[in-house]
Amino acid sequence: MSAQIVEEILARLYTDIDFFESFTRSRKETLRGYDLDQAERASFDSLDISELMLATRSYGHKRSKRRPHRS
Amino acid sequence: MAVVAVAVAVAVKYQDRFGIGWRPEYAASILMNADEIDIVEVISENFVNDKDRILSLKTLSAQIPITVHSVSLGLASSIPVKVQNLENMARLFDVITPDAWSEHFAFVRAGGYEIGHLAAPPRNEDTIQGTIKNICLATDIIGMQPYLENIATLVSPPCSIYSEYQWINKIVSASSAGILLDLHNLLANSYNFGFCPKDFIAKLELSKVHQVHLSGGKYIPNPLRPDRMHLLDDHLHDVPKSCYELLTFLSEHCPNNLTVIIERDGHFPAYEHMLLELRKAKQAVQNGREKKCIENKGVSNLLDSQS
Repeated sequence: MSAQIVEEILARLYTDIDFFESFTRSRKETLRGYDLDQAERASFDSLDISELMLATRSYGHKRSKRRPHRS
Repeated sequence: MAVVAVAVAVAVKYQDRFGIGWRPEYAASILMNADEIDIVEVISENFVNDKDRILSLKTLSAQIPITVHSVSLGLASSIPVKVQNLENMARLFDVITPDAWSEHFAFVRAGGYEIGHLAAPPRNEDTIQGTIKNICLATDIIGMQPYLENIATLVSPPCSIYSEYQWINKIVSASSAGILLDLHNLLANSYNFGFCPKDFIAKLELSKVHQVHLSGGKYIPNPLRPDRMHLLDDHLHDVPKSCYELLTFLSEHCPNNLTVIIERDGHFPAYEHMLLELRKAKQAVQNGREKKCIENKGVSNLLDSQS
């Protein structure tokens, strides 16, 4: 079940700016309510925040354009 | 003479096809120059649930082979795919009977959050098993197995235990799915995460590769580390030379006929420019096929001389 939670967290990071900003301030605190195991928490702890920021911006930009589907 | 013989041998052995992604900007040109392309790729989400558009697609499919590309199913996930979306696809397929269809090694939603685009899931056992189940369900409902495309990602997915090619190989080996290899996505990931794209191709399950995407992108700076650049796959630029080189390398090593599609999503050049890119792709494939043919011929000559 936690595999689905990991995907939910990623999807939320990409779409919810408040959640994303909270995550950049304190990952542990932001993910406290999620049922993750120790390895999953450690993996989110080591996530490159600059890559995450780029990805989040890119998804936001694509959502705002919305026209052609890109792959 | 030998050069001609090799070219003939390639033509006899392979029936590679070349086409472009259908976009409204090119609709008239595609119809007027249908003899210059072998196949057109259409995005299914632009047609499902729209009777008029489906009818226009039916007209197009009567004139030129079509391959359908989907972007919103989210097959590569531990989360089950939405059956309704598959049923919508199946209804589309009842009308147009495409040559093939494809999706992505990506998830697009989770926990009620719609990303609105393709995202790389964790590369682990959970997503492998979830993806295999989704492929089975999609194949059952749509009636045709998909080709899945490697995606470009700007973030290395957390909770991963496999590299990208390992993860893809595990999924395609345990399912009916084939691979649509997007060479610019591969180029972007190899640049952004520091691996060799040819090594990736060499390790990929090439017997499963049937389709290829070519597109372009641009380099962007990292927002927090200006010294670091990233390659963004934006489909707004020409196919770079390095992509054609990868296509030659792939064609040399892949045993299957390839369907090569050039994608463009903006900054649309004249249609003639797209045809020029298509010719470059044909030449790149031809170069790879000929190289393989010559190498095989060398081996057979060696065997002949030993017998």
